[in-house]
Amino acid sequence: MKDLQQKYKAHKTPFDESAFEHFKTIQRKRKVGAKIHSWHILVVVLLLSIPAAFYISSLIASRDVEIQDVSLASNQEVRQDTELETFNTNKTKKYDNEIVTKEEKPIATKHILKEKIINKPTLKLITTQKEANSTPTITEEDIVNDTHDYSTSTNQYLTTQNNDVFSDKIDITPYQTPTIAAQKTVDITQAKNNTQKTQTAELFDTQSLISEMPLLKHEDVQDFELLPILNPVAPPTPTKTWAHYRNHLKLSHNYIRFYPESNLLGLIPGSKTPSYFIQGEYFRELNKIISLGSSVGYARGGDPNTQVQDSLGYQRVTFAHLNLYLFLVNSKKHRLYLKAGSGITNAKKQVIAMDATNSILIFERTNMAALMEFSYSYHFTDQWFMSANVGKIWYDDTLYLGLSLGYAF
Amino acid sequence: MNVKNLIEGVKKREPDKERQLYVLLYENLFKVPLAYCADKEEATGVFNYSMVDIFKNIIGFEDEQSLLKWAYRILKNDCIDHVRKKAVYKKKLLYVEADNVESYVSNDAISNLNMDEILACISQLNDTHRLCFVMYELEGMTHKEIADKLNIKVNTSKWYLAEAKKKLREIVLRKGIIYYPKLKLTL
Repeated sequence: MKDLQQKYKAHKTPFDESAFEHFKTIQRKRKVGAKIHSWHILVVVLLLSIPAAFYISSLIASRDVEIQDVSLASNQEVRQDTELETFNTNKTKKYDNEIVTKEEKPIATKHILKEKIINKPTLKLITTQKEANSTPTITEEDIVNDTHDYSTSTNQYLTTQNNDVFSDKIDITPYQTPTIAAQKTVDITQAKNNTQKTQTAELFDTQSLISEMPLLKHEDVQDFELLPILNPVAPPTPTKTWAHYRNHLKLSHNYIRFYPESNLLGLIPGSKTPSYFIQGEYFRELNKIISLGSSVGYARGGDPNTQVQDSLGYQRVTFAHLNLYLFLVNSKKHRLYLKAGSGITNAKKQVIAMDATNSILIFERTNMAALMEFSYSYHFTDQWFMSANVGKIWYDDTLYLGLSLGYAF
Repeated sequence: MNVKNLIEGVKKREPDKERQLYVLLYENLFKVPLAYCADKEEATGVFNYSMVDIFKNIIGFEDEQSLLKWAYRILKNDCIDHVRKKAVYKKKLLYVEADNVESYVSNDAISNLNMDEILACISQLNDTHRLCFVMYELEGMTHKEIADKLNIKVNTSKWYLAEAKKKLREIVLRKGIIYYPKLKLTL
């Protein structure tokens, strides 16, 4: 034994030029590999920035819609105060005998339409000027005698006295211009039909409270025809409803490379071979960031050196995993997530003995393995989506790349 | 040869110095992957990948012996890892648990061969047999050290060594020494 060790220690191998060339090749590849690695990071960052931009823009858009809803609801009060202020200013100007050049607006009609904009059934209090046996008009006297405190009432305004708050005809006050008069024949029957209930309660001799609960809808475009003329507030854009589903089913078909090649005696180094990998999974969203699910997978590859791959040289891997999903982006249409899974993995490999017998050897093992996947999903409807996946199974250091079709419910 | 200057040149990426250092290491250490691996091609691959790491992480050694010891240690570990990684799949089948093994098999059959012939014979063993044989007979490791390194029992290591020696003797007796064979799968 000592002789053998001494021989081994003293042994020197003659230099081989081809080995050095191979060494230089590996060195160059490592350098290029490092450069490619940095490029990969840049590409990944770029790819991530696209869905991130979508996500942020969708967040901003949804926030704008909420703000618009809130502002529409409160706009009535603000605008009402502004109009009343203008109205009082005009009143003062009139009594100073100044020429009124500012175009007056039909307040009653405007409020009706304004209420129609807000698609919510609300209870309104309407203060009316009441004069027996008179047509519903707003006169100078009414205005002068109007001592109501508008600054504190948030949902009250002047309107014409009528049992029904809506009127087919609008009487023109001395402050109204011919432009307004031309609009008195405007058909607001639709608005009238949308009023569900109107109640009147007399407070004083000259005033009454009209309570109405309109059932307002803006499905009919005709409802908004008057808006550009009478009210600068744009109608809310009807938004498409997009249901959010928590449960997801997904079927993936992936391209994978692993080692199905025989290296039984260690004389042939294993090489990665293109193979396929099918994965079916289910997951449920716990919240906007985390989901839990499970998946089953099947991968199979043939030995390129074996002609009869189905029965002789092949390798297949099956697994059942529990998965944790971490959503980086989770919007209506775009999802970007990282999946980490672990579970039972069974691997079976069938190779041919490289001896005189050429017998078939089957190796099988079952153990715990892990999987990590990075996936981007695009919902082309609220239920159906497509995904692009890239991941790694910790079995033979195997990477995979594939596409999925999914269904949410 | 001034090893210190050589290393300085390698750090500055001077091609001549790189070549000189590579030749020095190749002549002294290529026997290691040659013993552990199945053929010269595989051994060259393992050696060169180790050399890339060695060249990258080389520090200022004062003399040739300390450099060779350091490189030898890295290379040996890389070789063992490489063979273990290859052998792990068939571990279930081939790592037989042996309890009472007579480990002594005479080395007479191979003692008369020169080192090139011995390495050629060793290359015809399978991975696990070759691993145990090289670690015990050539590297001088004990069965306990081998068992710890390969995560097997001591008796299993003895059994592999005995099997390796038997097979080597058969190979030598048949005189079927094939230098670095490239086998193909056949049906």
